[in-house]
Amino acid sequence: MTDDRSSYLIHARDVRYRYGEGDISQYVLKGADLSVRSGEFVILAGPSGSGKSTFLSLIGALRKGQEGYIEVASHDLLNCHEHEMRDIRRKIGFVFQQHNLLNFLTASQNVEMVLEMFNGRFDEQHRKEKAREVLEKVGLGKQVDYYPRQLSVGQKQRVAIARSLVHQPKIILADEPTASLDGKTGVQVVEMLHHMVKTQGCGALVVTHDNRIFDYADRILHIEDGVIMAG
Amino acid sequence: MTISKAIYFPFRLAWRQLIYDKVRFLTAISGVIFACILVFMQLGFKDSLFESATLLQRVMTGQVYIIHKQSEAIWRLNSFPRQRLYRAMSIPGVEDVTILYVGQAPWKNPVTGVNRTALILGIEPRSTVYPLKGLDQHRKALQMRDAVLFDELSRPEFGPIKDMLKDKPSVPVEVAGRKVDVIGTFQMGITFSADGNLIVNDTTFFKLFPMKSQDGVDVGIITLKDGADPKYVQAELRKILPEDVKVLTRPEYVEDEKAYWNDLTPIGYIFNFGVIMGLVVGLVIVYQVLFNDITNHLHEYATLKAIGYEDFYFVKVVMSSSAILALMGFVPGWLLCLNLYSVVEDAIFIEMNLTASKAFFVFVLIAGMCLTSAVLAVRKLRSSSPVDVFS
Repeated sequence: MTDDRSSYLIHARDVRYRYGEGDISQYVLKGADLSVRSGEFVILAGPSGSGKSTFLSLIGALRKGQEGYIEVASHDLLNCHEHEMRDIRRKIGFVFQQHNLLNFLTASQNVEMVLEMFNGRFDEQHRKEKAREVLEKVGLGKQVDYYPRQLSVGQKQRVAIARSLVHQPKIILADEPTASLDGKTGVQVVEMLHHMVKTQGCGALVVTHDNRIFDYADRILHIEDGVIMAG
Repeated sequence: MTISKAIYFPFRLAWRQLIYDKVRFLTAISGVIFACILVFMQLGFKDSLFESATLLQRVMTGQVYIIHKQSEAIWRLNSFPRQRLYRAMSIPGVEDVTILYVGQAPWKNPVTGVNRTALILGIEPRSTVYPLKGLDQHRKALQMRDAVLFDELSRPEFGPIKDMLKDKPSVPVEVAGRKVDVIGTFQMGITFSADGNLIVNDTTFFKLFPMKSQDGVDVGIITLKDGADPKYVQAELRKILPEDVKVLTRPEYVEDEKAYWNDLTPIGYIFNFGVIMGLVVGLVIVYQVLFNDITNHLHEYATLKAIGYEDFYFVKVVMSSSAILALMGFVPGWLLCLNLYSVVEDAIFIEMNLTASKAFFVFVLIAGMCLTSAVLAVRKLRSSSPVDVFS
């Protein structure tokens, strides 16, 4: 592994973040370092309150950084404007603990929502084809027109993964993607993510407690008390 | 992003969101329809009040009118001395003047014997300023003593006068306790202040109203020569007449009558209040639907914001929902009211017109109501923060 920054999809150094102001402020991140390269599947594990979610929201450009250095997809996150953060988020595939699918849209329409964001780039036919294609990849080729209520929890999470991958992001950020799934489905979902990373050449940072999926990681990092350590 | 897609995508999302729960969607539309009907009916009543109240003023062909300053409405007139009206003849441009006497008196139904109040117009039979249908053919007969013309658009409680006249040349009736003869009919239409109308000559009028001064004029009607300017004549009359009379052009006289009903009676206020209540009810229903839609999808909206959607996209979704509800509620509301107006017309015997301009005005009100609901509901979107999706 080289230290050349340009080869990193995610590069975070000495990231500090505090909640509150003045005397009552408290640091939840106390100098976190982390890097993810293209084609790498990295797991970040740690107990509740260790700063995982805060770190993920900083890397995901959902929250403005305070101290340190964060570079994601060649963008310096600490020195960018709100609208730039939104543009950076469009380059990331997010998988959340909850699928958060719109219940009034079919699986295909939920996936197409991401492509509509880039509406100048994909026409309607193209959007439908891409959504179908990615849903087939996650094993839901027969459920493209199903509404979320017609899908199992595992299938909903697969739709959420399809949604996060359909625009072929450079980076995948996953927050406890197996938390709401049974063991077998959880493993299937992670296998799928792992497969996408290896075939599409993107980088994935997966935050999880679930040690059943640790075998899929290229690297396992632990975060504790706001500091990230190699596993 | 092209403008059409910037509008189309949120509009489509709003549509899909609304129609997903069909019962709720129908409930929301019903709310808008209800508001729509309330507004249409209140405005319809108000307009029909104004239309009927100003019927005579709009029919009469005189260009300038003189009434006593304390006269409030056609059925609440004070008289002024007739010399004031004759002075108008000295103004250049004045062709002719004529007098209208107005009073209300009980009419006894010749069949049932039940009394109803009628508006009685005392006119000079030869005067041509009243182009009312049916009046011309009875102009000569109306000069006879105790002759009365009956408005065939009066309420049925006045009796089947028109049918009775088919069998005989006149129908004896009792008006203000005196015997008179109905010798024919004309068409004018009833108002909120009178259920039926009669026309008599000036002599018969004073027989029916013996307490009224024969020197007094209720309405002075001035007909101008071709090309004469009513504003000029009005100004000249104001110079020579004392301030106890109002000199009005015809449009001003119409507005003066409307002002009485709108400002001096509670009726105008009641109808306006009804319109506001309809809009408030609709606003609450639409707000509730939009607010619930946002509340039920806060996590999903936050997720979409997290993946790159801008906040304004969801404002457009809510605005689109309100536009859809406005349109989907207005159209059936309007169609229903077309029928309801006919039903009410038949019941109250007063014309109610659902004009294109009224429909457009109501649509603007309904759209404004839905838009206001959306603006209020949109504040809830602030609760949807993309940061929360990692919590």
